[in-house]
Amino acid sequence: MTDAIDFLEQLGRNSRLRHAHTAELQQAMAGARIDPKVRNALLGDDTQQLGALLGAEPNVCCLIVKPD
Amino acid sequence: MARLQVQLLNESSVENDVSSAGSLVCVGVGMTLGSHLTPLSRSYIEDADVVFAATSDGIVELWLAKMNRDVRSLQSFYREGKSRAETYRQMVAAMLTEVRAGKRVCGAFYGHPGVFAGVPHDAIERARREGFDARMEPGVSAEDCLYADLGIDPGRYGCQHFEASQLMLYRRRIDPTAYLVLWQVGVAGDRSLMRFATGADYRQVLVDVLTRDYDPGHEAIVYKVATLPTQRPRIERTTIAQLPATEIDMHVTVVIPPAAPLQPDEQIRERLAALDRLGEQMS
Repeated sequence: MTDAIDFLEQLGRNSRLRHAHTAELQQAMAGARIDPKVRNALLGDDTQQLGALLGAEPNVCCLIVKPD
Repeated sequence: MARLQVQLLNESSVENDVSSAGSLVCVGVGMTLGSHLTPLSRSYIEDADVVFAATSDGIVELWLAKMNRDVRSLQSFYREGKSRAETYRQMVAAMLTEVRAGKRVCGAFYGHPGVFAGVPHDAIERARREGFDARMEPGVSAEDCLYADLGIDPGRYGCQHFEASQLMLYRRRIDPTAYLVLWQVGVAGDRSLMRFATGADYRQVLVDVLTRDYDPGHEAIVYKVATLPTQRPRIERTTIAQLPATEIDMHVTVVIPPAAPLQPDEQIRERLAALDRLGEQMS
């Protein structure tokens, strides 16, 4: 079973998969034996659920600049 | 080969000597996990004694944690009801503390560390002022992704960028013949710096500012970059008048396309033509 973060990194750097359709993504995830719950979260773009499954801390804020 | 190894060892020794004085580099990790991180930025992250991370989401932090054993999230400094000015000071202080302790510190920021990102600029300036080696390495920013995803070339008509609250709080001169890109629209009008979202009433004030120069029915594009490689960017075409009713969070950027054709400056054109004629006569 491929680690989900490693899988995402490979996906991000692979020209054939970066903009793949759902069926191709499903095939890639099955091939990498990604956990079914993680697969569903990724396909459903449920980042909250994905974060919870992977043990990520939820982000509070992403702003790093203030207007003068 | 032996000479090269010696040279690399010597460089390594030099690096160790320098690192004992502490250093800071702020790198951009890009916007999309796995797609944008440059080899050099990755090397800085991997080689650092400590990495401070400010990313678009916690999943990207997990990715960074695979590159370095000591990745510390800057998220803990945020709190709703606390001024972000104070949060940013604390982030800078946290990084500088480790630099002063003699460590090679890497600040890993999502996107580009120098674009709509005050903390890296402040930290580098402070470190340099204290005599430490400090530098910035660029990354792929949300702005870069926006050009690609929306098919916009900023050189075609020109492109203005404003932080939304700053545009509201100051009298700025908008050029409606150019693209206008508004950042941090999700907190537009927050003078306290203590909120993570404002709302429709505040965006209505932004709309009132924009309609000094634009028709309310003019197009506004709501854009959100893909942060995971499984995502698609959010591209929602609406109108300026509809911005208050549109779902807009802190990740969203709003693009206003040009609303009027470029206006020829006949006086300048005539001056340039006169120079051309003069040049022809001289040759």
